[in-house]
Amino acid sequence: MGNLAVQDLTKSYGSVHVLKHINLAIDEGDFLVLVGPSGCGKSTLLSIIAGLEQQTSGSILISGKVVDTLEPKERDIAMVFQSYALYPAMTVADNIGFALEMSGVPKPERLVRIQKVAELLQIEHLLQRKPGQLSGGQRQRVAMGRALVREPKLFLFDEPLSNLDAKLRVEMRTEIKKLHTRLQTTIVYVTHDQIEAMTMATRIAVMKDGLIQQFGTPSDIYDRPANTFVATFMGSPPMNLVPVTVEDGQLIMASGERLSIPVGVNAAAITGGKLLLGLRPEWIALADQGAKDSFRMEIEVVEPTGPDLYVNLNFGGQAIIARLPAGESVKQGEYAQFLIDSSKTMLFDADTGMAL
Amino acid sequence: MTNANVVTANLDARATKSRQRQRIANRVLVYAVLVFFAILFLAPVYTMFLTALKTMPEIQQGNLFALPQNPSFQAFGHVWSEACISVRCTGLRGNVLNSFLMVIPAVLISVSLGALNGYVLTKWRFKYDNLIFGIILFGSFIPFQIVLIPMAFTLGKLHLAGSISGLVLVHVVYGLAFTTLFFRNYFVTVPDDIIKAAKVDGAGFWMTFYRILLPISWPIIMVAVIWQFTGIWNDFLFGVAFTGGENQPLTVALNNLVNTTTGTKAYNQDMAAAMIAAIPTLVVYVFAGKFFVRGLMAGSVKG
Repeated sequence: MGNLAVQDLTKSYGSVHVLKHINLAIDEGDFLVLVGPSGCGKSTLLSIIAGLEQQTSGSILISGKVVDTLEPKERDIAMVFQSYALYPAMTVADNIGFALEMSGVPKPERLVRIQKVAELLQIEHLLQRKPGQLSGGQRQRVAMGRALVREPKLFLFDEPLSNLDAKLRVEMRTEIKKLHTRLQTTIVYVTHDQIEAMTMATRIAVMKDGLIQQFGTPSDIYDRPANTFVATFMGSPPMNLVPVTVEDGQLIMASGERLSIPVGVNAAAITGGKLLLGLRPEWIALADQGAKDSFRMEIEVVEPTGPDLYVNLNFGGQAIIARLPAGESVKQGEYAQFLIDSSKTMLFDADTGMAL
Repeated sequence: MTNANVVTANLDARATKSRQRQRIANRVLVYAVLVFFAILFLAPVYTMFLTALKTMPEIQQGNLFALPQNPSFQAFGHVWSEACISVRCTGLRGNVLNSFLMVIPAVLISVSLGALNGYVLTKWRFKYDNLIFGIILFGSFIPFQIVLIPMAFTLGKLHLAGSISGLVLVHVVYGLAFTTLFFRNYFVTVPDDIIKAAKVDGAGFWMTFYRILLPISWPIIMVAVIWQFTGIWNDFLFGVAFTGGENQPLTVALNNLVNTTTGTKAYNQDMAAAMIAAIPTLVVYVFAGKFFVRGLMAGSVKG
C-alpha cells in the first residue's frame, strides 16, 4: 500500500489539451474518486497513473517514488476495467492468477492466493469456469479478484460498475467500500456517477475540461462547492442558484425579496455586482408565517420519491427545488411559507462562478 | 361461449392449419433446391471418380454415368508411380511430395506472419499504421500475372530460382496480404481493454499474443489456413513459372501428365491423377470446413 502524488501533470494530443496542470496528493489508505462529465479527462488521468499512456509533462509518484518512465507492471498497481477485460480463453482461476504467473510466483503459492481472494469475493465455486459462462456481476467480481490477488500499492478502477444493472451496482458499491475498509488499500476510482463518488470516496476530485474544479472530502465538495459547476454537478437534485445583488448588507432578488447574507461569507468582502445564492434543496424547509428568512412561495409540482418529496417552487419568479421529508402537507398549486437556512447557504460570483 | 367467439375460434384453427401447410411447403421447396444443386455440383466428382475406376475400353463405350463393371484402382497406381510426365516416368509421387514441401511451410509462415501483422496493426498502434495496412491490403488486389517478372528477377538475385524454397517465398509474400487482412479484421473486434489488462498484469508483447490472443483466434486461424492451403495447393501459375523439372508441384505435373500422350488419351489415368490432386484440399475442407464458415462470420455476431 502506498500514497500517490500527481504533480503538475499535463497531457496534450497535438493542440488539444486533455489535462491541464493537474495536482493531487492522497495518503495511504485513501479512496480517491475522480468524477466529472464525459470528456473531462478523468479516464486519461487514470491511464497515465497506470502507465498505459504517457503524460506530456509533470510527474506521478507512487509511495514517494517517481514512476514516470516505468512500465505498468513495474508500478505495483492493479486495475479494474469498465469492460472487465477478462481473458476469454482462461478459467477464472487462471484469470486471477495470470499476473502472479507473469511475475514468476511459484504455482503452489499462486493457488493459495487465488483461493484466498476467491473466498474473499465469494467466487470459489466459479474458479473453473470460463468468463463466457459468468453473469455480469460475477465477471465484475473476477475482475476485482484479479486486482486484489496482487496486493499492489495502488488500485485503479475505471468506471467498474457502469455496466451493471441498478440494483447490482448499489450492492457492488457497498461491497467495494467494505473491501476498502477491511483491506485499507489505496484506491483511485473513476466514475461519472456523483452518487458513487459521494458514497465511496474519502477524497473527491471533481474534474471538467481537463482541470480539477475542486479536490476535497465528500462533505467539502457537497457543502462548500468551490464553484457553480461543482455545486450543480454534485448532488441530485442539484443546488439551486438564485440571482441576487447586495444592498444595505442584505441580498435582494430581482423581485424584491430580501435575504440575509450567508453566515459563512464575509459581508465586507462583497463588492457588489451580480451574485448567485446557492441553496441545496434540503436547506429549504417549511416555516411559520413571519419567521426570519422565510418566504411565501407557490408550490408548482410535488414529486414524491418515497422517503422525500421533491417540491418545485416559484421563489420570486425563480424556479427552485426543495427536498422535504415525506408526509409534509404540501399541495400542488397552493402557497406556503418556506425558510431558507442562511447558516448553510453559499454565494457565488455570477460572472466567474467562483464561491465567495 | 357466444356465437361470435365460436366463429373466431374456428377461423383461428383454420388459419393455424393453413400456416402449418404453408411451412411444410416452404420446407419441401428449400430441400428440393438444395438437393438439385448438390447433385449439380457433385456430378463432375461422381463421373471423375467412376471414370478413374474404369478400364479404357469401358470408357470408350461412352456411358459416362454408368457404374464400372470391374472397378479397379489400377489407374491410381499407375499415375502414382509409373506414369510419364514429360520425359520422366516415375509417376506423380515426387510431385505430391513437392507440393507438400511447398504448401506446409508456406501456409505456416504466411499464417503466422499474418497473425503477427494483425496483432501489431490493431493492438500496438503506431504512426501511419493505417496507411501501412492500406498498402498491405492493396497487395491482395494485385493479379498473379503482374508480379511474375519482378518475382522471377528477385528469386534470381536470391539464388532461389527454380527451387521449392523460392516457391514458398513467393506464396508467403503473396499470401501475407490476405492473412494480414483476416487477422487484422478479427483482432480489431477484440477489446483493447484486454490488452491493457495484460499489460498491467505484466505480460509483454509475445506473452500477450501467445497466451491471450491466440487461444481465442482459432476460428480465424482456420479460415487463414484453409484459404492459404487451397490457394497454394491449387496454384498453377507460380509453380509453372518458378520451378522446373523435378521441383514442379503437383498441379504442374498434372497438366504435363495430361498433355503427355502417346496414342490414345488415357482418361482413367487423367481422372485418377486429378483425384489425387484434389484429395488434400477436400480433406482440409471436410475437417476444418465448419470452422471456416464460423470464422468468416466471427465478429459479425456477438458470442
